[in-house]
Amino acid sequence: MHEFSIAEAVLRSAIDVAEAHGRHPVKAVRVQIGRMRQIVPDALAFAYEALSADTMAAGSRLDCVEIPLQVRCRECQCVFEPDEVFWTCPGCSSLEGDVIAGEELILESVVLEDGEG
Amino acid sequence: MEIHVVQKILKANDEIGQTLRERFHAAGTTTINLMSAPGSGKTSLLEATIRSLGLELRIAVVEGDPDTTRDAERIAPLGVPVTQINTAGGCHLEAHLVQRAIAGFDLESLDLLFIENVGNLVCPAEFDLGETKRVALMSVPEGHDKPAKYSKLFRKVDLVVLNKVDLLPYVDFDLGQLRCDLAKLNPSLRLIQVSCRTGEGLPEWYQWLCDLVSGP
Repeated sequence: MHEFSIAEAVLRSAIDVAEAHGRHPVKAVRVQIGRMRQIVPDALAFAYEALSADTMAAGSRLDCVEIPLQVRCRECQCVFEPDEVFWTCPGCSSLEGDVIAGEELILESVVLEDGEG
Repeated sequence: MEIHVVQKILKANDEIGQTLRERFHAAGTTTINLMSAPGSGKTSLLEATIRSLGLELRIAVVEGDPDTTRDAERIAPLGVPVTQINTAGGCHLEAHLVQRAIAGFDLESLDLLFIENVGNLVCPAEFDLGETKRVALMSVPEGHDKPAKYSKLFRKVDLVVLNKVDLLPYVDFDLGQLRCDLAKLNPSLRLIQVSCRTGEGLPEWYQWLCDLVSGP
């Protein structure tokens, strides 16, 4: 359940943003979660909801954008999305690849209440 | 009003992790983040290591557990500095907890610092603690399939130590399959087989540590 630690960090950042922008209440928060980060979006949303109660972000929505895992083969440089534990390059069968997407854990944006959208 | 932020969620942890890494480096302290499932023998491995290398190397330990000071109580009689972190149910260590735990240590007088993470093969992989190397410990009774099941942690470690190999004759543990899975996850990953109970294989682990401390 490291989702609570992640949710706590998201909430802290969202409140920092709100405080830096006129202390308007937080309406929504959007995060990018890479598949490699082992985050369960429902667990993250639950933790966020629980932690944000009685803060400037109470009742705000947490939107998770899941980023698929993408690996670049070190041998033939082809980029693929592994759907298994072991990353076998579909081009040359090499097992050696580098993650080029899927490690994200990013706070993308914070929507504050002010009626401007 | 939508504010675009685009910042790392674990920025605070990563920054403290980096600060710790710089402090360890400046002090010349090699730091090991030891991760495993509960009951693999992390504390037993540390006890054996301190008994064997304690005169040669100046060692300290940070113990991480959800509750109790039992691990620290096992390490303390060996005469090395030890701090227990209780995470109060938390399933992993974070950099700020380590920062607090080492506040009383004189890093300059230490060669080797072990951070024994909370027993868990998922969450600890996500948090940088400023360590020099990450070591995964597994044990024979857990089964050979753990690296495949918990691949994300095993992809991020520098060494795998397999403990309790004295039990190999008695259980259905497929060492060949383990080697094959580890090679598929990380072809350069080294496996050291030990038994903290019989002492088998431990010299190879000690050598790995000594080489690490003495540097390239």
